[in-house]
Amino acid sequence: MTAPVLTIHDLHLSYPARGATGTVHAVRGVSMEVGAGEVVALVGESGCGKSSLARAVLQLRRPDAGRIVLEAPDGPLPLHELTGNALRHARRWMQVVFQDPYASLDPRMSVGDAVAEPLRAFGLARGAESRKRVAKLLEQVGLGSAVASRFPHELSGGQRQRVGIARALAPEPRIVLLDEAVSALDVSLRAQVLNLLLDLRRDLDLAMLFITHDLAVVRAIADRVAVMYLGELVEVGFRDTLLRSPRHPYTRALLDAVPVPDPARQAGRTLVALGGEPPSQESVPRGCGFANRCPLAEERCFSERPRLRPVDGTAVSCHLA
Amino acid sequence: MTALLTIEDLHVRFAAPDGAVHAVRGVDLEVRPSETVALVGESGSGKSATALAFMGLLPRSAEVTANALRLGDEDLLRDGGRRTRRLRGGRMAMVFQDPLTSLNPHLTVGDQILEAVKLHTDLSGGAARARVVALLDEVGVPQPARRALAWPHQLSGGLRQRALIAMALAGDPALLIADEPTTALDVTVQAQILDLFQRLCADRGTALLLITHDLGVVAAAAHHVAVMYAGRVVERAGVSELFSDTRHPYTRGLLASIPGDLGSRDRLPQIAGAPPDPLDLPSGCPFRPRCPEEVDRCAEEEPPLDGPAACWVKGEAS
Repeated sequence: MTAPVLTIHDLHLSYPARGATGTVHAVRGVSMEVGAGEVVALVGESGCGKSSLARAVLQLRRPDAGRIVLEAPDGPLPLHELTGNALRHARRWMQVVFQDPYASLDPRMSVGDAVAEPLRAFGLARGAESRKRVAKLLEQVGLGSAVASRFPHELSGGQRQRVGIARALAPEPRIVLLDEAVSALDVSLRAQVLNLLLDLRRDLDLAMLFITHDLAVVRAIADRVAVMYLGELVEVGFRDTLLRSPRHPYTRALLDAVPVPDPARQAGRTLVALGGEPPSQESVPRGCGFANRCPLAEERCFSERPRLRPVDGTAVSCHLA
Repeated sequence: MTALLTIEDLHVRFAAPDGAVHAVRGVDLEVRPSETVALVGESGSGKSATALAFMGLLPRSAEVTANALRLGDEDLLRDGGRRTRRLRGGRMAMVFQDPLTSLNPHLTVGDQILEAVKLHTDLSGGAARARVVALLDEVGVPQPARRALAWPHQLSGGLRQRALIAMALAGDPALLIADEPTTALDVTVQAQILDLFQRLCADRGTALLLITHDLGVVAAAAHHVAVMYAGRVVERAGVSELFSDTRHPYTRGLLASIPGDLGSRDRLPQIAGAPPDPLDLPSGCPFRPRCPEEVDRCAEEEPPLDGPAACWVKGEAS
């Protein structure tokens, strides 16, 4: 196997708590890899630390500790050590698409200029060459080159998200990080954008780290899935294995909570599988972070923190799995 | 049983710079006590405008006309909205998608519910406060007496949504309209809220109009379903018929575009194109430009909802 495109090793990130003296431990020792051309979905509920992890990976926020290595064509780039221009140039190889395509496009910049901006910023193309590449990118995301002269407010949500994707693809990155990139789209448009991403992955051999709370998206697009809870990965595995036989009680609860679009099957299920709320990230428990909500928890779970370990081809952080 | 919510031939028009947007074009809807009806559709389909028109919550600039808008036997059209204002928050209440913007950040959660209790019941003083705690308890807020003293920002999204539901229940509503109540919530919290709605329908006999775009939520929570597209109901069915005997090509497209359980890395079936511009609806059936089943008649005449679906090809009852 070739080297992973992205390697995250023992990443920690904390913030000072708002208005108080405590510390929010948002990411607590996450390690994961994304292989070349691989789509990894990072799933978890609000507050689990998935967006903090994304910020740390992008170096929008410096992690407290840990390594983030991006495999660029001319060798590995240790993002956690880079600063200034070196970091800026490294970003060419890892691009990002955000949730809200309206907020992430400059309303005064035409679509063509928005897509050309990264080409200029990384010194990749100017003038006629840039226009040619913008036209090709807009075709590639299914918009057609004619939209280049339009402005974001003239586009629908689905079209704007395609512009965001074209912009991310412009510098020919090796990996794209998608932070809830289809969550704001309606069902019919979401399917279109997911199909576009599947096509791009096939045509460009593009790796993706797909951050989402939506398990339907995971089903559609992921090769592997990492489940995050209270700042830690609790289960990492291949999509079908993880969805078919989840090992961690939290993964199971999460899957059980998703309503099935089939009343006949839904009738036999109870939706409520999980009571209570996660503990505060300011006072993370000593043992397993999920123990206070876990239907299986034993004494040991409250005193001893489980570590990710392999169980039948999946990695699980649970004493009882 | 007679319907609690009755809407007949509702039309809503908004003034826009380039002409009037006809957002709701002749909607009929009924919800009975103890029943949950899901109103399904994508952004701009007119589902929220339908609910807001019924609740009298649209801006004055919106033009609302209907043959009938009734809550039980109260005619909401008759006295220029006075009756609607009197009933709103009492016999009929609404819960919105975003629980943070619906709460006043300067008042504790308990005080906000207390306002509703005082407005819609005869309770005051200690009895009213006790009622607030009882309502929070009923909607499953742990430590309700303590949580009543909390500020909105101190609560999680799930607890804030419960607080809003508690507020909606203060006047003991016979009808609850919930507009995307779980869309902003995590799935485990969504499951808790849907369970709460089911208990309300079963225990209190509440009639629930549940507005959602999520067909999983529909399958889990609704008894009947109305699917909206471009301002009209295009399909109406009991929940199991909707999924087992889907008629309208739009509904079938929606169902197909949900990623399946497991397996292939194939492309998802998708509905081509995008919903029509409300200022420039196509002739005939508004779904026609995206429809795989189009026949000549579809361009000539908009199909009525006479059977299960408003469709010239698939609309006949079987």
